[in-house]
Amino acid sequence: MKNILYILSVSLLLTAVSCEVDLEVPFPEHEAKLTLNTFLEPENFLQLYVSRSYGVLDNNITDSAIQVRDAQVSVFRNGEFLDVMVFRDTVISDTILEVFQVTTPQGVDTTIVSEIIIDWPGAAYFTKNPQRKPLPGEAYSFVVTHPTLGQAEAETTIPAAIEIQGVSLAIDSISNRDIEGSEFSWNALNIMFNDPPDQENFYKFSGFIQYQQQRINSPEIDTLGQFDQLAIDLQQDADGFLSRDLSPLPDVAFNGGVPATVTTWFRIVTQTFDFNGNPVPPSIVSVDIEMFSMDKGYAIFSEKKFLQERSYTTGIESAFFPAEPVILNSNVEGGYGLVGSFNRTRFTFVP
Amino acid sequence: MNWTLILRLLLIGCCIQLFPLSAQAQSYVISGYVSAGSSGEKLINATIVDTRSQKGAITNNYGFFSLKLPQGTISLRVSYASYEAQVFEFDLQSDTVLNVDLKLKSLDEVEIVAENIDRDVDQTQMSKIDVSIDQIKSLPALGGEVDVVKVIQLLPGVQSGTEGSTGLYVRGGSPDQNLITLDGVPLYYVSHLGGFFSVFNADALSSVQLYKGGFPARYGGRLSSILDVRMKEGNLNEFHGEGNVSLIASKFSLEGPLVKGKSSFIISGRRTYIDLLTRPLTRIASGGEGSAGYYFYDLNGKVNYILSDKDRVYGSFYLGRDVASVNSGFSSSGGGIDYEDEFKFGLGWGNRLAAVRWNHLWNNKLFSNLTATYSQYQLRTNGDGRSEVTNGDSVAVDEFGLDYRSRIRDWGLKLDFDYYPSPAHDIKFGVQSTYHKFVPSSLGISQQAGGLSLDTTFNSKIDTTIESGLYIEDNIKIGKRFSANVGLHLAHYYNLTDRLQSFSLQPRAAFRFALSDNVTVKASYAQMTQFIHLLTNSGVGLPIDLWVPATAKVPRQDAWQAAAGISASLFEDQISVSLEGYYKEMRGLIAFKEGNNFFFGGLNSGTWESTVETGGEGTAYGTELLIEKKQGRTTGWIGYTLSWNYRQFDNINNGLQFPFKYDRRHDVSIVVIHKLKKNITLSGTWVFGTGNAINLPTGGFATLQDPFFSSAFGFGNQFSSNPFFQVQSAIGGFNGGGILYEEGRNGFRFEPYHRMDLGINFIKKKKWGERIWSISVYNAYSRLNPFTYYFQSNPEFGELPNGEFGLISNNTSLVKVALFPIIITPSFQFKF
Repeated sequence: MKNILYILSVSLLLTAVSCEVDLEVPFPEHEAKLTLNTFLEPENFLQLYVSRSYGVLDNNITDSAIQVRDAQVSVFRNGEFLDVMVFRDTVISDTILEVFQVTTPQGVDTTIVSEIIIDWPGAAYFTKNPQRKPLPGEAYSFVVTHPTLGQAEAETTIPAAIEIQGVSLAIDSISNRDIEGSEFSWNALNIMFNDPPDQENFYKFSGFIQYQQQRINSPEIDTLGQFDQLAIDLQQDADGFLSRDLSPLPDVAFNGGVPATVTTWFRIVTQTFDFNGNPVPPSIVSVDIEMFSMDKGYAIFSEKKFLQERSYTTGIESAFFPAEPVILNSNVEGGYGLVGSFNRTRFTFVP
Repeated sequence: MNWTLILRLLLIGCCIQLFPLSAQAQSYVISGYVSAGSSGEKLINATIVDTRSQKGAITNNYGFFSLKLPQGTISLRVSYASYEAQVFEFDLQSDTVLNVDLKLKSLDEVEIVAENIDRDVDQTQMSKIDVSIDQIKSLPALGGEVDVVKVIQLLPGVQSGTEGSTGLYVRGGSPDQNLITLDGVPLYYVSHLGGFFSVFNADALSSVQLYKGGFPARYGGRLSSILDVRMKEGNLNEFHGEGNVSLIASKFSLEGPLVKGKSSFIISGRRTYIDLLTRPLTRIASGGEGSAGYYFYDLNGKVNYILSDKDRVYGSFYLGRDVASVNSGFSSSGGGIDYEDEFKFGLGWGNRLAAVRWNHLWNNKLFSNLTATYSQYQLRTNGDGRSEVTNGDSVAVDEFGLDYRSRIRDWGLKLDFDYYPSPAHDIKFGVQSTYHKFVPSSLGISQQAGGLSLDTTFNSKIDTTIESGLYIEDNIKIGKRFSANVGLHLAHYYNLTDRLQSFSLQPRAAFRFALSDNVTVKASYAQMTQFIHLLTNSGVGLPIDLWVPATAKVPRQDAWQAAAGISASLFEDQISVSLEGYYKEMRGLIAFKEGNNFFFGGLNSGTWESTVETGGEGTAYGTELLIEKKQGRTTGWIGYTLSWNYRQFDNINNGLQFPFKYDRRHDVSIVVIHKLKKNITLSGTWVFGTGNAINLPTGGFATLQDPFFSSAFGFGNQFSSNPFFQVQSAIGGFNGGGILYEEGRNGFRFEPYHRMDLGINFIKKKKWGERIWSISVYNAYSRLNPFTYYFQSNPEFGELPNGEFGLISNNTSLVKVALFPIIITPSFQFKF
């Protein structure tokens, strides 16, 4: 019996101390590589951000610590040498023209051009003429070499300009309820544009809605705020839930259609009332739309970057149920980063 | 796949079947049941051989056999492992019914003798392993709780998950691809306590069979393995009981006759008592304002009744549940105001299943089994909070409640026939249908606060599906050297919610050719289809796994597997050696999208389908070696698996193929059971495995702000702020840069896993029965195997070179978490 008690007590002791042990273990050292980043667009300068990657155990990772200022950078256009790029740390001022296509309530299309002065930050490689801008439809490639970080290359083709050919609005197209059970109406915004059949373009839309509340003695105009694209086909299940998709819309969805049509959705949360106090749909004053036409690398990166950030910044649940890892895409051979491009189109719709 | 070849084989099989029927007109059928003499328990896979003609049969899952032999003198040998063989010599002149009761060998016998051992070389079926319940009970066990699944993990081709886990990863498959049945009823979740114990109570089991490939046509619905677990039927003649007391759980089983010789029952229960320890401890730790506890229980039961020589009915059930709870409270007062807060959290999951079956012997060649089944798996998480503020006469109460459930329910019916037209054929055919109802997630929220009231439930899409199957298989013997098992499984699936219909024709074939009496070569091919998926994170394996059906958006899974091997029986059947190679391809796999999990991506807003990547492909191949010693004072086996296991999804890991989490290049297991004396048994196991493949960031790189988000409609521009967004420390918090996985998905490897367990059993006979003291030593040399890894930072602050005070170093390091160093646990068993 004594033996049994002895075994029992030793066992209990060992069990009690044997729950979890944490030990430091060696981790492979990171081999730094060149990181190339840029999102080229016809409205901005031809520029390339060059830095180095770093290991998870590295200390004191700051902007200046990872910036690479002493690389040799060459830029090519459509495969032909264009220029040597040099590092500039100073601000570059530029004047850009913002062009809006506007459809008036009378159905007349007009164009508004405004001039904006912008100070661009430096800390990037620019061509000798720093105000050189990339051209739509052209392929730009960068070759970067560094004495210790090796060589990296990447290429992107600037998407051609896309014309928004028309916009229509369908108020209260669909309704759903939120977590508190309130019903909300969603308004469908149908956007028609020319999707080039010979380019693999991806699209994202954003914009602002301005609407008028029909309040007694207060016919003011409120700004609903920015909306992001929801989906091509917003789906609703039997319980009224809507599935949303924030991914860039793939080119295959449009098949080079002329015109291609996409429907994006928004809702106005604030209830509006008529003069008798009855709820009525708000009166839409204008819809400002910006459409991004992106190359494939940027489109994928845009979605993955959002997901990676979300998976690392959410609350306590992520400690227990970590989100699946997001492996960012890169089109940089011999290094990391993303060399992408886009073209933007703006349109103001007045119902 | 060459369909013509399969059809030809079936045709040849039918012709061969017809020929003996006409040519052997002077043959008669011997049929009957083989039972354990002491208990009346039917013995599965007992061998019946006419030693003169070398023709034989084995008993089916209900102990029935049928053997057609030519008239004349026969010498029929009936044998079963651990039982004394019986030989019947008589002149066969008519159809004969022979019910055989085999006697268990004396317990005083030290050695397992050579006879009666199942020879793998004689079986057509390949990639199948029968696991002995006695062996399971002899091996050392974590916490003294012997576990069927843990022993199966020691077999080649079967891999465990992380430390202590009961997950089964068979030939590159994932746990949802295993059809795990208890008395023919599917179980959806077989783990207790986050995977440390399985739901199977060894005291209530009679047989365990694992198929890793070459699946017979009677099985369908899963891609990777079949684990067929059968419960005991209960002793028909006398009452017996057995129990076990260990540090973490106790269990007790009782069996006996309801009507002697006609009807019996068995009931078996198990419960852990971790909560009895943790509740008072946590209450003390929280100053009396909270407590936490966890327990699980299992309850198995079975009754059977022999209606007549030809009819027998069975009823069986299983209930099992894990329950974890946390209660906390807080109260304070000051300034004339009293505050009281309380919160209760619960997490529970479990299975319920029931089956009723009817065996009927139509004649001495045709046996049928009709089964009706019910199975339910439910996961529930609930939280309730209440806060009360009392200020004089004013009392403000806020209450909220949250109730999350995920559930799958099955109602099934199946009819199976065993037909024995001649010794050359053993034909099985049948039909089965199951109605599934899936509620992948249901979220209820209630709130009473500040005069506002909310009480609502959000259900995800509820899917109802019907899965049906039709099968036929024939175990064909051609001559003494060649045998085959060929069959077809036709599956039909209908998702009533999506109006989705799907058919699948799955050919199955296994061939055996004897090079000599002791050496055979085997090959098999099987196609499988699965109409159900398991949504699970690749990270921590908490029971937050959701079963979901194939839908219009998330198609079914398919796989094919080919295997070939050689088996040898050496040293007068002392040693059996099996070497198998396999290649498996899987299609239609799903996985959470990158950046998604149980909480993200719309699962709780009713659209689980939008959170998954579909159309994944898997490739697994490898070689398995099993050297087994089944006789003598020392028994056991050595298993080795060399394997590769990959996955590919278009939108995961940038479309590149990546290693599966449990891609394990080398997997070794050594199992030894040694009978030191007639009352002392020693046992030991040693396992080694290549480390698991996991996701671990290895670094970071600068990225630019997405111009779309920073430049909406001209109110900003892409480089208007600091262009570099970086992960200053991958563990210190995300700061906008890119997180680098240099080797891609699952690119980091755990350290290799190895562990030795030892056990000793002291058996003593008592007047009332038998008692066994067991001591298990888990992880005998205290290897600190990795359970998980994480980065830890110890920031160091001080004077910077510029004279300012700031961060000098993050001092980041990688930390390994090891769960169990060495654990010694005694347990006490008794039998009467």
